This record gives sequence, C-alpha cells and structure tokens, in this order.
Amino acid sequence: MNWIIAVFLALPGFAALSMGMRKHQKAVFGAVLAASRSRTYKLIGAGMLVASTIWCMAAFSWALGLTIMCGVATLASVVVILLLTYSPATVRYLCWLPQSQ
Amino acid sequence: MTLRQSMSWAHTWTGLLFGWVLYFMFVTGSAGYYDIELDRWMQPELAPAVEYEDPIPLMEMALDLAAEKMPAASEVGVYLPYERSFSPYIRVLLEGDTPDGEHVHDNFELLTDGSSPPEARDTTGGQTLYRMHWTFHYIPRVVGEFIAGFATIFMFAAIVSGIITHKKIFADFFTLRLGKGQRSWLDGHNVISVMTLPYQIMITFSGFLLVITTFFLPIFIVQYGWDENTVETVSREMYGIEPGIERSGESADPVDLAILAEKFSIEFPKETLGGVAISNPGDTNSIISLHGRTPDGIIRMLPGIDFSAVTGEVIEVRPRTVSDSAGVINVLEGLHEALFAGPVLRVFFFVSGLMGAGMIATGLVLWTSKRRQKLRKNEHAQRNLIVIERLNVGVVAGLPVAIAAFFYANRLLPVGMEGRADWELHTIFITWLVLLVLSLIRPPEKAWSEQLSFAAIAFVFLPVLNALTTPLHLGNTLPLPGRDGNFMMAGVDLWFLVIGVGFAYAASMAARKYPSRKRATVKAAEKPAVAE
Repeated sequence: MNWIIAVFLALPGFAALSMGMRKHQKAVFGAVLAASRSRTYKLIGAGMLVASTIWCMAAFSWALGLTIMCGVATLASVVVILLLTYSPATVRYLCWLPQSQ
Repeated sequence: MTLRQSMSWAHTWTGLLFGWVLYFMFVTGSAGYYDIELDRWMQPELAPAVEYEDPIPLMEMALDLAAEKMPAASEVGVYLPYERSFSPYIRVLLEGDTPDGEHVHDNFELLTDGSSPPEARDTTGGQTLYRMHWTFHYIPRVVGEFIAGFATIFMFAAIVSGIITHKKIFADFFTLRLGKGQRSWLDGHNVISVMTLPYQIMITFSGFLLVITTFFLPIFIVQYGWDENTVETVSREMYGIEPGIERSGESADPVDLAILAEKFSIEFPKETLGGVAISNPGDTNSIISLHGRTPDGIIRMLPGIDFSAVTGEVIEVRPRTVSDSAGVINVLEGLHEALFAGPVLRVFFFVSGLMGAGMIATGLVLWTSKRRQKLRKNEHAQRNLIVIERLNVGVVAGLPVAIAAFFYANRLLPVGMEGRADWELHTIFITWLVLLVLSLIRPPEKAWSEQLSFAAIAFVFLPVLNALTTPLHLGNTLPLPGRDGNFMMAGVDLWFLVIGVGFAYAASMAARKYPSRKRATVKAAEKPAVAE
C-alpha cells in the first residue's frame, strides 16, 4: 500500500513538472501557457515529488525510503515519458487537469 | 576546446572503449538480482524451502551431526533455509584440521527431519551468471576483477562527462522523439540515462568499491608488505573484522542455544533467526554467533550477536560501524547487491539494471550512426566502422540469446552427463560466438531484426520448454485462490515471457526501421497510387 501511495504521488508530480515545460505544453494543450501558470505547475510537481519522498522515508525508514524513492521516481517518469510520446493529451488526466486551459 | 566539448569527447571514447564489456556486466549483473530464483529454476528437483516455527531444535540437530562428521572442527556454521536462502535445505559448513594436520573445509545439507536431501541436476545456476559480471569466464578471477575495475572507472567517467555534455538535462527530461533517426537514438539514450541516473551512479561507484581490494593491491603491498595474509589483513582492517580467538585447549560445555536465542530476539525483535556459527566448539574460548536472515536496512551485514559460548555474555552486537569510511563502503556495497530488497524493490533494481544495459546499447548504436555521417568519404574508416556496427548487433542482441541458450542447456542436456554444469556455461559462449559471426556476415539492417527475433523466440519459449520438461510450469506454479503455487518458479517464467515480449517489440521496431527491399519496393510502388 505504501508503494502505491508513493507512486500515486510521484506520477502527478512528474506530470505537473512536464506541464511546466513549454514544449510539452504545446503537445498537451496545443499552446504555450502563461509563465505564471508554468511556474505553478513546476511548484506543484516539485512539491508532490517531495511529498512522495517524505512518504517513502516515513513508511520505510529514511535510508530504505530514499532507495525506494529512486525506484518509484524511475517508474513514474517512465509512465509520463511514454504518455507524452504516444498519447500526450492523456498526461493532463494524471494531474487532474480539465480539458480546456 | 571548451569544457563541454572536451567532456563530449571523453564521454564518446570512454563509453566506446568499455561499452561491450559494460554491456556484458550490466546484463549478467541484472540477472544477478534474481540469482537465488534462477538457482531454484535451474534445479527443479529441489523442493521449496520449508518454513519452520522453532529454529533451535533444527540448529541443535545440525550441530550434533556436524560434531559427528568432524569432531575436531574449529568453525561450524549452520544456515537455516528460507525463501531466498542459498539452499532450500539446512546448510552446514565445517572447517578444521584432520589428525594429519591438514586444514580442510566440508559442507553438507539436511532436510528438517535430519535426512539427506534428494539429488538434483548438476548446474552452476544463477550464481555463476551473477558472478560472471565481475569475474567474467575462462580467465583468472584476478584478471576479471581488474577488467571490471577499469570498466567501472570508465563508466563513472562516462556518466560524469555525460551529465556535463548534456546541455538541457532537465529540459529534455521527458523528451522522446520517435522515428527521427539519430535524434531518436540520442533521446532514448538521454531519457534512459537521466531516469536511472541515481541508480547508475550508485551501481558504478559501489561496483568499483567491491573490487577495490584487488584493484589497489600494489598500494596495499607497499603499505602492508607482501605475504599470503596481506589480502586478509587489508580486508579485516577495511571491514573491521576481528581476528579469530585461539583455542585454549580446555574443554567447556556451551550455554543452551535457546537462552542465547532469547537474547537475540530481545535485541532484534523484528528479525527471524537465520543461523548459528560457532568458533572453537567445546573450548573455553568458544564463541557462538547468532545471526538473522537478511541485512538490517541497506547495510551489507546480517544483524547478529557474538556470545561467549561458556558464559553466554554478549561480546558484540552487529552490524556495527568501525569507522565512517567502513560505514560508507558497507552501505554502498549493500545497495549494489540489494540483498535487503523485497519483491517490489527487486523488480526496480532489475529493471534499472536492464535500463543501464539499454543506455549502453543505445550509446553504442549512436556512436556508429554519428560516425557514419562524418566518415562518408573515407573508405578505410567506413570499413572499420561497418565491422564495429556489425559487432554491435552480435554483442547487444546476441548476448541475451546466449543467456537464453544457457537455460535451454539446463533443461535439455542429459541429467547424468559428465561435466554438465561446465557445458551449460560453454553453451553461452558458443551461442554468442555463432551470433557474432552471423552478425558479421549479415547486413546490419537485417541482423538487428533477426537477432532480436531470436531473442524474443528464445525467451518466450523458455516457459514452454519448462512445461515440457518439468512439472513446475506456470500451470502448477502460479498462485491462485485456494492454491499457494510456487511464486519463485512462476516469477522466473513470467520474467522470461516479459523479456521475450520486450524483444519481440524491439524486433518489430527494427524491422520497421529497416524494411526488407521487397517490402520497401511495394511501399514505394503504393505511394503514387495513394496520392492519386
């Protein structure tokens, strides 16, 4: 269960981070977002990754938690990269974004 | 030349120089995360490890049998079985002097009722595949360790220079553009490298630390002098291992194991007792060490307690850290071997290892594709490049086929065959050699899809072969409601299927990238018709 929670925090974290990048905004929304919105996505993404890390450390001890977080981050980033490559529009659902921006 | 340019040069050449060796190390090393599972799969005659409730009667039984077998033993070790133990049975290791003064080592295995386990086929199992990633094969171990040590240094240099070279390491983090030739290979190489960067740094640096004793032997010799004990002395000081205590010659009865086990469970309440080791049994200087099953956390040391066998007094509680540097080494080596990892984390380690192999493979392909454009007008260089390009196919796609052949040999070679275990290993290198030769005579565009297809077919059919030759197939081993199954055996078969499907996808990508002339002609002919 702890694993699943960590992955479900990291997945939207990476998705939000990618939404903060101009080239992926074009692929997902068809347009570049305002700088303030990009910054917000980056902050949300970084925050969720930190939350996932803290969750892992709290659930598994800090040493094991950091090791596990590396695995969780790899898994989550693979999912986001594959979605951005094959089905960019679906990435928005990972961070619960509405259809229109 | 700017720093970035010089790092780019260093990255390219350090990567190429040891690329093939590192690819071999990553593939066989990744298999090592499932060494015990592969051991069990390769000896299907052995029953799964039996879970026990009370370890003390089993330990006492094994110690009695050990005393009968070697009354003058100076060291006795009893290792109880558990799911990922080396043997699914009770394992007893003995060491001592014979009446002739010869120092001997012995070992035997037991079932929990004290009888001998059944005979299993002769195989070196997953252990050899795992050891191959730093000792290689057919060469002396020390030479293998030197090669592995140099390769890790070059890999580390390639990682550091790669990070400096990659201008947009964060901006390109999620970027994978497919169907764009060299650009796609570069994206693939970057994405795999960055996603697994912490793993790659850890595995490379800790890998070097694991062979450091061999690698720095000349320095140790200067510091410590040279005799037959130099390596042992250095290891003892590095890892803080105390030298053994001499036998006093006076006999004494040991304390009841159950009392010591209780102290162990108070010190390590979450740990299950995994075994006992006794130095100088029956002597007043005897020490009894009780230890757990798995490392406590990421450190590479089993939790344990050393007791005075006569008084039951605690001498030392492990793991302990003799110095900060020894602590760092222990943690990094623990991370490298991942003995602490549970099933999910083990999957991550395995996949990260395979992604490391993928990073090297994409780097090797990139190297040739970049040079092909540069050397278009230099015929001699082109010829050399073609050889490297073709050998890349044999190394990258051929090695997995060769490893699959190892498992086929395990199932198909006659059980009573002399030198069976050796021939299983020869099968790896014979198959690899055949595929390397094949890659040299076939055009690379065809060789890629052919050899990747071989790998796909070989891995997908392994569970089928397992079903045809043993009763431990997926139909019996998959845990289902109302049936425990044998997840260890099922897991290996499932991994073979996943790897096979992965290679099938890679083969189809290669076939699409390099369509056969016939298909290309048909496509070309179809184009104007579509336009019309």
